[in-house]
Amino acid sequence: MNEERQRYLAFEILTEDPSLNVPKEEFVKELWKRVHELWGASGAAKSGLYLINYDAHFKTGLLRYSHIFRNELEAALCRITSLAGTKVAVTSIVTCATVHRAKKKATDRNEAFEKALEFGTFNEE
Amino acid sequence: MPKTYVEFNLNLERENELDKAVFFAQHMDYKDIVVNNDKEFLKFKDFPEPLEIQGIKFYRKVILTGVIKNMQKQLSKERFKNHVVMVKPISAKEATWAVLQPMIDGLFLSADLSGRETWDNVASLLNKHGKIVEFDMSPLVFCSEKELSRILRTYIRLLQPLNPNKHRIVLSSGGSGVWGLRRAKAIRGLSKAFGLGLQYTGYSMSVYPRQLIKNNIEKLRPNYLGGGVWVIKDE
Repeated sequence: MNEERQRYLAFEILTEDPSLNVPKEEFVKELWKRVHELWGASGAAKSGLYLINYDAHFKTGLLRYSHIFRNELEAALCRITSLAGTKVAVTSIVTCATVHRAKKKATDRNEAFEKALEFGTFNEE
Repeated sequence: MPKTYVEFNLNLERENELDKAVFFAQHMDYKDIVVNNDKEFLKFKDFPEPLEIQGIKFYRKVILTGVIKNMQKQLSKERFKNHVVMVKPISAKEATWAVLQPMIDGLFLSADLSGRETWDNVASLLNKHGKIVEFDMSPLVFCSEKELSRILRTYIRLLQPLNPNKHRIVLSSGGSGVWGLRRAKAIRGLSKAFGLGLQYTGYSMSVYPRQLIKNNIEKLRPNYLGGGVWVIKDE
C-alpha cells in the first residue's frame, strides 16, 4: 500500500450574516458528521483529517488531509449548509503540499486570510 | 483540464440576488452561469448577447414540467427558441417523448424520479439524438442524512443505463437562491458518491454546457435550417 501523503486545504465559510462568529467546535463537529454520512467510517478513517488552524472571526481555516481524500473532502465541505443557525457555504480556497505554501497562496487569493495573518492567528504550530 | 466552469442551473429568487450571485460565482471559479427563466424580473437581453456583470456571463434556461400536454403548450410559444430548453420528466414515458423533440436540448434528472423504471430506451435515444443529460446535485447537497441513501440509490439506478463515454453528462449545483451554489470541484467530488468517476466529469461542468450554448446561438443564424443544416447561397 502506498504511503499516505499529507496535503493542506485552506477554506473559508461564507455566511448570510458577515459579522457572525462560527465557533471552531461547531464547525469541526459538522465536518466530521458530513464526512461520516457521505463516506462512512471507512472513508473517515482514511481521510487523515485534522484542523490545523481556524479563525472564528474571519471564518477561515486550514485543514490537513490524506492525499487520497481530496475530492471526498471537497464534497463533504459542500454538504455543510448551516452553522450557528444561519445559511452557510464552505468553499476551499487552495490546496497545497506544505503549510507554508497553503498560507502563501491563500493570502494571495483572499484578503480575509491576509487580515488573519496580521492578527497572528495563523502562526505555525 | 479546463478551469472555466459553467454553472448550468441557478434559480434566482429575487432581483437583488444578481450581485450576490456574481460574488459567489467569482469565489467558486465560475465564468458563465445559466439562470432559470421562470421569473421574468431579470429582464435579460436576447440569448446570443448574455447579461455580463464583472466578467460573469449570465445565460438563460427554461425547465418545463414533465407532463406531455403542458410541454406541448409551452414549446409552441415562440419565445423559447432562443433559450436552452431542458425537460424535467416525471417518468420514462415523458422522457422518451421529450428526447424525440428537436426543440429540447436535453433531460434534467432529479431525485424525484423513480429509479425503478427501465431507462434503457431513453438512454439509447439520448445517444442517437445527441441530447445531454443533466444531473441535479442540489438534492445531494441539501438533503438530510436519512434521505441521502435513497437519493444516492435513485441516481445510481438512473446512471446505470448511461455510458459516460458516449452520453454527455452535465452536473449542476443549482439549488434555490445563491446559497445553493457550490464549488465545481466539490460537485465533481460529490458525483463520486453515486458512481460517476472523476475521469468522466472533466467536461461535465465546462465543455458540454458551453457546447450547448454555442449550438443554440448557431440556431439563430438566418440560414439555419435545422439538425446541423445551413443554406449556402452561391455568390
